[in-house]
Formats: sequence, C-alpha cells, structure tokens
Amino acid sequence: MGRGTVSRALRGIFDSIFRPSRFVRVNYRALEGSVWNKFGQLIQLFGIFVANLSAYALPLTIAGFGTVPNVEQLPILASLDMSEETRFVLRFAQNSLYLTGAAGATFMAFHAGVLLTRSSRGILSSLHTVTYSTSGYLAAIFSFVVYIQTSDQLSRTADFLIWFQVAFVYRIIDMLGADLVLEGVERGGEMPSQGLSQLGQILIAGLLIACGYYVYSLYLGSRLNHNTSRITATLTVLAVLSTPIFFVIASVIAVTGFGM
Amino acid sequence: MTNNTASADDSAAPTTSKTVLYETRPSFRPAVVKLSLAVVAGASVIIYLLTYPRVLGSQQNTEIGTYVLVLVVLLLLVRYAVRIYLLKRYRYTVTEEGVRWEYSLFYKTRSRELPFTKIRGHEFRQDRIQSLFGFGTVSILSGGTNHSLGFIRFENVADPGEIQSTIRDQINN
Repeated sequence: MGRGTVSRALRGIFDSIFRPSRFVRVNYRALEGSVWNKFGQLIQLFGIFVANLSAYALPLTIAGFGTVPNVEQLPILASLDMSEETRFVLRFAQNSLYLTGAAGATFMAFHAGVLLTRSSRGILSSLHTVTYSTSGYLAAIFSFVVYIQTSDQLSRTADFLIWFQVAFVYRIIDMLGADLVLEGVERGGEMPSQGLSQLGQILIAGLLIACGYYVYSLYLGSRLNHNTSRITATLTVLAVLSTPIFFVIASVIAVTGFGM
Repeated sequence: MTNNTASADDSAAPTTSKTVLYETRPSFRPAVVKLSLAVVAGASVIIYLLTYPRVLGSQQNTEIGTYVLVLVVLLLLVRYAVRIYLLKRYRYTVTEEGVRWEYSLFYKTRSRELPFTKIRGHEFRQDRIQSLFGFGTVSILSGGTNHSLGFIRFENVADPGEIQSTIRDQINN
C-alpha cells in the first residue's frame, strides 16, 4: 500500500469526522467527463464500498460472528466443499448482508427523492453520496449496535436499544390496526429509565451522534452533489428515513394479508 | 496547478519574480468567533441539563443527552482548532500576471496560480460572522459557474473589495 493511499485514507477519516461536506462531495470533473471517466468513477466507488464493507465485516467474521446456513436452508451448499475457508467466506457474506441491504435501500430512497423533486444531476452523484454515507456512517451505526448487543457488560444497554426497536415496530402495527404480536418479543412497556452504566450511556451517545452524521451526510449529499435547495434536501432525507417504516408496513402486510 | 516543494518556511521569499500587487493571509478571527459561540452555546445547554436532570424525561436520558452535547462540543472544538491552524498556513498573492494561492504544511508546499487571461469571473461571499469584522471570501473562477472546474478561493480576507478591484483593474488592462 503506497504512502499516497495511506495519507488519502487518513485524510478520509479526518474529513468524515470533522469535514463531512468534503467527505461526501463528488468530484465534478469526473461527472462531466467522458463515459469512460464515469465508468472509472463507478468502479472506484464500488472499490471504496467494498473496502469499507470489508473493514466493517472482516473483524466481525474473524471474531466468530455470522452463521453458515445448513443444506436444508440453502440446497446449493450441497455442491460446495465446506472447508474452513468456504465457511469463512459464507460468514463474511452474512455479516456484509445487512449493511449492503441498508445501502441499497438508502440509494433507492435517496435517488427516488432527488428524481421526484426533479433535482437529479445523475445517478453517479447519488451513488457517490450513498457510498460514502453508508460505508462511513451507517457502518459506524451498525458497529455500535453490534458491540452493544454482544458485550456481556452492556446487557442493560442492549435491552435499552431493543426496547426502542420493539416500540417502533409496535407503534406501526398499532397504527395499521393489525392484531399482530412479534414472536418471542412482548410489548416493551415503559421505557427503561435507569440502570445503564456510564459506558453504556456514552455508547448510546456515540450511536446518536453517528445517526446524526448519517442523516447530515445525506442532506449534504443532496445539497452539494445535486445542488438542491434546503427544503428539497430535507425531503430527500425524509424519504430515506421513511424506508424502515415502509419496511415494517410491508412486513406486517405480508404476514397478515390486506385484511388487517 | 503547480507543486512547489522548494520551501517549507512561510517567511521565505516567493519563488516567482513577478511584481506583487497585493499579498495577504486569511484571518482566523471568524473561526475563533465561531469556536467561541459553539463552546458558549454548548456549555450553556450542558449546564441547563445538569441543573434540570429530568428535562428529557428521566435522569438517565438527560445524562445521555449531556454526553451527546459534550461529544459534539469536543468535535467542534477540534474542528475549529484545526481550521485556525490551517488558515495560518495559507498565503494569497495578486501579481501583475495573475492570482496565486499558496499553502504549506509539515514541510510540504502546494501552490496554484491562475493567469488573468484565464479568469472568467469572481464571486464574493460573506457570512454573518465575517460581516461583523468586514472579512469576506473571494473566489476567482476560470470557467463557467461551477467552482470545481478551476478556481482559486481567498478565504477570510480583510479587504475583499480591494482584492476584487485589483483583479478587475488587471483584467481590464
């Protein structure tokens, strides 16, 4: 790895924390170049996403996270030689799945937002924004959540996080009027108001800041890369933030049918 | 853009022999003011949260909110401190032939020069903090209305009007 790559990576980390506008801003010269330049940009963005995804998923896989599906779940595995290396790759793929899925959903919602507001400057601008915001900030969010939920000393903090997720899902279920109970998950009752350790509180604060960065980076991406107004950028961000809501609604409909 | 690695000393004479019409460095006063405002606002809210520990529903929630604010203020502190340090590394020059931007950091120097024949326009911006002190940012554009196609930016300069009129005079001549 050359010195230039290392200094670029360090500058990227610095920009992601202290200069998020510079972190997500697209290279206009590449956008307005030839088709080959744009294709080169696309390959570069893919490489950046894969590199950051690996930085997130590889430590998890090495630490033992991720499960290998059995042959009943995935018949194609019957034809594979299930060596340790193959299992490692499958666990890495599973650990990468959530972040990749979330990045895909973010891209679709973000680009739909700029398209519907007639502000789009091209798919490459959206890809650039989403690549950097998800592989930087969304990966940080996932890392916080995984650490909290897998650390033995943070069980109360993990319960605190789960309470919020359960409350969010049940709020939507109640809004739809569906008679649905999540398997193995009861309604959470009152929000846990005490019992978190100082470390747990600091981690929750870090998680909230990472969420703030994620939202702000999407806002900046819309403003800087698509040259949108403040209102349009806000609407684009709201489109992205609404994807979990639509995901839950779709899940409820899939389980209960339309006769809720 | 040219890379000039000849000198690491900010006080060294410029490597060009062109007559200098105007030379300045950016002021870091607006950044200091923004830093101070961020610290004062953050500290005020933190003190309020510590005084009323149940304002966010429960003491635990308020403690989490306090940690969020402390981390945000720390991030802003570092951000503006770095910005102030970096602003001191810039030098802006207007010569007979063009405008020049120089930056040196850790024994590495960068410079960018734009001849007057290539200048297509200039833009002036002044935010609320800059307007308090009469500072402004002048962007000299080489093409189109898109900054990224080639431009030089003189940030937080004390006499933006004088810079603009010097550039305008040279272009007209």
